[in-house]
Amino acid sequence: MLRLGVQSLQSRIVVFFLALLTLVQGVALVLLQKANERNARAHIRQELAVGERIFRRLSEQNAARLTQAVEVLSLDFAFRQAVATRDLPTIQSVLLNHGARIQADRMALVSLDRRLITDTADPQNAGRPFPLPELVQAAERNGRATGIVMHAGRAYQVAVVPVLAPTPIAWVMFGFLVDDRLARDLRTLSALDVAFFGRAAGEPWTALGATVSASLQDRLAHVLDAPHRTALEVDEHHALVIPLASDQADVVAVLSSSMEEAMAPFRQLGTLLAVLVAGSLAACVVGSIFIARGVTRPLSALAEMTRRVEQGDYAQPVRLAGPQEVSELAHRFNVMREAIAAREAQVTRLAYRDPLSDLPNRTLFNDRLRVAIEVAKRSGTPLTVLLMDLDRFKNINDMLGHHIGDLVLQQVAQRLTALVRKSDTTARLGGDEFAVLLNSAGVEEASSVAEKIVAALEQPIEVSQQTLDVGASIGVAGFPEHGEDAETLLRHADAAMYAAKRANSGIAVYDARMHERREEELSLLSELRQAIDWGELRLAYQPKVDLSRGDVTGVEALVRWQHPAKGLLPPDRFIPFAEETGFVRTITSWVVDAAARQAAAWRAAGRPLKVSVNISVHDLQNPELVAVLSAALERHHLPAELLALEITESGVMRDAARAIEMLKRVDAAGVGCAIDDFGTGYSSLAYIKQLKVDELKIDRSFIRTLVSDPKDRAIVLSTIDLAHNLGLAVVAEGVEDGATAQLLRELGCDQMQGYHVSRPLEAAAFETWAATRAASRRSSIS
Amino acid sequence: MMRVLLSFAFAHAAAAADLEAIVKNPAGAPVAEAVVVAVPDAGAPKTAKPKLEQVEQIDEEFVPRVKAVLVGSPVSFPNRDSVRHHVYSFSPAKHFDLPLYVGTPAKPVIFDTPGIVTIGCNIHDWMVGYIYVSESPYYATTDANGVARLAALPAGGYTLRVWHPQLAAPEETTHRHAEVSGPARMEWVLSLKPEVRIRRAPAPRGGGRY
Repeated sequence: MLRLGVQSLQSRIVVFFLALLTLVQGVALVLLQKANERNARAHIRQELAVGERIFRRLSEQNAARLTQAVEVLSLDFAFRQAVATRDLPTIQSVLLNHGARIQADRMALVSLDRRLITDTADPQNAGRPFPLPELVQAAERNGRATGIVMHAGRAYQVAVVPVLAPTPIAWVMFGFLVDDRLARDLRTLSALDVAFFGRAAGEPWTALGATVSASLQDRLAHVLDAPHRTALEVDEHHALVIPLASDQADVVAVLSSSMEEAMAPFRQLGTLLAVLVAGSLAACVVGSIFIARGVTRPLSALAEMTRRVEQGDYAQPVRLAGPQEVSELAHRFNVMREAIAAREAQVTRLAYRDPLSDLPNRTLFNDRLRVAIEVAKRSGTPLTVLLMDLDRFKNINDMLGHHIGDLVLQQVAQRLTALVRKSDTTARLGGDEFAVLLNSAGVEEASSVAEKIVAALEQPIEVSQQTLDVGASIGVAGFPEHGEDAETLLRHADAAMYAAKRANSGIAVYDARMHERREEELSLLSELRQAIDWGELRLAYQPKVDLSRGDVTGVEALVRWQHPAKGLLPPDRFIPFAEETGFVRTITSWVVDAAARQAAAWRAAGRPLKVSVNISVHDLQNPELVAVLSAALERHHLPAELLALEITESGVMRDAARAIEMLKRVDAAGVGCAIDDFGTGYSSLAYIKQLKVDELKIDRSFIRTLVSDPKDRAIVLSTIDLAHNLGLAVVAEGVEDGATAQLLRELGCDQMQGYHVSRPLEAAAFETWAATRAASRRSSIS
Repeated sequence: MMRVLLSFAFAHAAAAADLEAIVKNPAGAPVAEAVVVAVPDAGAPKTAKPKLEQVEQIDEEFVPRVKAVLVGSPVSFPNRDSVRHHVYSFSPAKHFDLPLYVGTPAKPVIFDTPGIVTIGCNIHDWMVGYIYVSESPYYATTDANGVARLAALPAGGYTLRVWHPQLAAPEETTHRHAEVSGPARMEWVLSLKPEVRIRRAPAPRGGGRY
């Protein structure tokens, strides 16, 4: 492509070479022109000099030839006889005859005393003095005489020879006109223009004969001066004035050569050169365009390639045939292009792939989901999103290390991939959270897929010779019924997944209530963070009473949230999601601190009471837990035996090994611990025996029907026996009536807790309650 | 201008005497080929008889170039060259024409009118000769020393005249009257015109190679 912009490299190259060549050739042409002119002038001077020599020689030869011709006549015997005898008619006829023979213009016979005997110009001249006596004089001296003379306005070349018989008896004169014919003859021989001018004394020059134009004759006549040899320049003509000597009148020959004629060969050369210049300029333009293209075409191609690369098209290599530098550059560009392509592929993979599982990541999943929604909207087909969370992954990760956790995630990814169609998208969104996009699948179809997934993940996973149970909870949300955009669908699938997890049902299909709940949880979570700062958390205390003695042995501290809008919220409204986010640790710290402060206050008031604090399974994983406890004890100068922890059996069993380890450290700190909700967590006796705990708290589900259900009674009894055998105290929870209390007392249970004793009370209320109870007991005893 | 010096070697008259004429040019150089004639006042003596004279052509020149003869003398023109000559004269004193001959022509030419006859050869333009036809028998031609001797002139009065082909002035200017009574010497100083001569053609060289 020819670019003619001033800025383009190609036009710069073209313009540069064109200008350079034009300059050089222009200078050359000017120099040549000057040299030509000089040459032409020199040539003309030379030509004139040569012409002059030729002219003089010709003139001499001409004169000699004429003289000889006249001499031949003068020696003719009959002519001599006629002259000797003054036979005038014969003389005249001989003169005319011979004159015609040699093309003379005027003939005369002159007597020895220089008078005309006869004159062909005018017979009347006979007897008159011969008008050119000096010629006769010269002939007397030299035997002959020639010269150019003016006579009656005309110039003649004259030859005078004697008529010898054998001494001179008369002079015969022949005259030849100096005219155009002579000029032409001389021009033929000398190759110069010839013009003759003559003037009588005191008269102006007149042209006598010439081969040049009348106007040039006029101009020459004007510039002629004295009859000297002179070089002249007139109207582009170089001229040389040659005097043709005469005494009485001036006759000159002017040899001239036209500058134009002299320049003609040079002009031809100039024309040829101009053609050459034009040709070479054209060749220069073509050549420099060609060369420039050699540079700019690769540049354009490379620019085109970089443009494609910029647009993300790495597929097309640039191919350039050309000079080595160009192909090398093209090669380097190709290498660069491939490197960029490889890096971009890597970046893309990193951006859109989860490196661990090699599944699409959240970003890619969201992209595909959006695209799929657009397609589904247009085609009217449904699609479904499954959001999956592994149930026990955190335990595996914490107990066996991230390496094992990663291997588990990879296996999970493989199982997932094996269960869905290629056209569906399985993604790892982060942590143990996976998502599946099922195109063209309604909720029912999706639910069956989800069931297959749950079933597949209930199969133990073998990793590094360990068999691990993970299990999964899946939330299902379908388009369009559960949401019409990606964010909504994912949020609703998330809500469904938490519902499934809470319900321990494996799979939950979204419904609007879940969403409301989930929404509430999420908003509560954000408010919860401020609740501690704003003092909205409260502790309520529920007393534990010794069954045999009836006195208060301690209190369980239960956290409450005095929500500014929703009123008082029980822990099950906010603790579960606090556990999900790990915020529960902050709450636990606050609870421990608040409980310790209260315990210290009571102790200071002379009524020491052991305060138990519920901790979650998350707290067990908190390596700072013991430090938190110690700090609270120290801060409030509280003896360790007045603080105790409670942890649910299911919480212990979710991570039994860690629980065993943590409880050892808690025990070492002097803080006691109770197993809460015992009987619901499927705990192994092997674990129980290793747990450093003081108490078992039998779950309220057994206590509530204890009076009516003999099986519960058996369970409770054997539990009490087991605990006692392990050296643990037994606390019955949820005791709501006296009959149950009485039965527990009979079964050997150590303590009870529940509405039968007291509902949870705030500190002040508890103190009132305790004072009242103490007073009544004192009165009943007394 | 002509100066005439007349000296008398002998003052006394005699019956016959010799006259020595000396001719010089104004520069004093002797002038050869000048004809000196003495014409008696009493007229030419009848006793004098013309005799056969000759002008030879030798080596393509007339020999002698200047020849004085008594009027009425026949003159033969023997050709001593191997080439032909064509002797002619258009002089008023004698027109004649001897076409192309070798050796002596059959008849001599009789010069019966006094005067100067210029002779030429129609073939060889440079050949010029002069025959001075004198009415007086007393004549002589100067030699290389410019001296001519008129021998045994009878005493008496004479008109002496000198002629030369290149004489600048008319012949009359040389006329001089003298009484001859004894040996005498006369001297003429003559102004001469330059000689107009035709260039000789180159002579053939070698023998017949051409």
